Amino acid sequence: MFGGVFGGSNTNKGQAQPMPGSMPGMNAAQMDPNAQLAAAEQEMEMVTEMFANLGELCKQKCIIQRYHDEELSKAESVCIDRCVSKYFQVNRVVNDKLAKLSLANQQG
Amino acid sequence: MYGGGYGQSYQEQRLQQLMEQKQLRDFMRMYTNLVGRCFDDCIADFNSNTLNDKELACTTRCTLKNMKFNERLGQRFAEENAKLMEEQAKAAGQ
Repeated sequence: MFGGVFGGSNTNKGQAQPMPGSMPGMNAAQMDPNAQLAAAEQEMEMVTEMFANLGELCKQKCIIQRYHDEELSKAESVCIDRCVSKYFQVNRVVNDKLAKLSLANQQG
Repeated sequence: MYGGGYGQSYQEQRLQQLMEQKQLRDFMRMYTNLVGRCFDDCIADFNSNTLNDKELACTTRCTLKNMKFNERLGQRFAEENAKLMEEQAKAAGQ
């Protein structure tokens, strides 16, 4: 259902935010260029939205808001890594379930 | 990006434009969030109309720390995203 919703993985070096750089995984070759563009736009929107959402969540969960130090502590760094990983896992689970559900709805 | 070596198509130009707009918007959002976050976390009272030493130091650390946070988050996000793309490509190829 959300096939290829996540953009490519090229990050712009020196920039905090990854920008999606590829077309959606959907059979882009078969779509007309304007539809491709719309899909790419939507995909970008989705990825940025996700990134912002993830940032807010992991900041809340991982960063101690006292600022005794300008460096990320070891614990905070590890927490960020795990937070991102888990967020993607949750994303997979939700995506799978929704896909199955919508498939069942179509067939039923 | 869409292959094809001849100049840029309308779509390519438009996409480029969209990316630039988005980057600008992302940057502005990041900036506003950062100011908001550090203000919220570092400024506790209004006994003076200027930042005292403590508030200033806190704001500086807050800014730097949050930028490092964003950087690390971006790296991990890119990695996970790449992994996901790979999985999807594999699933689509089956």
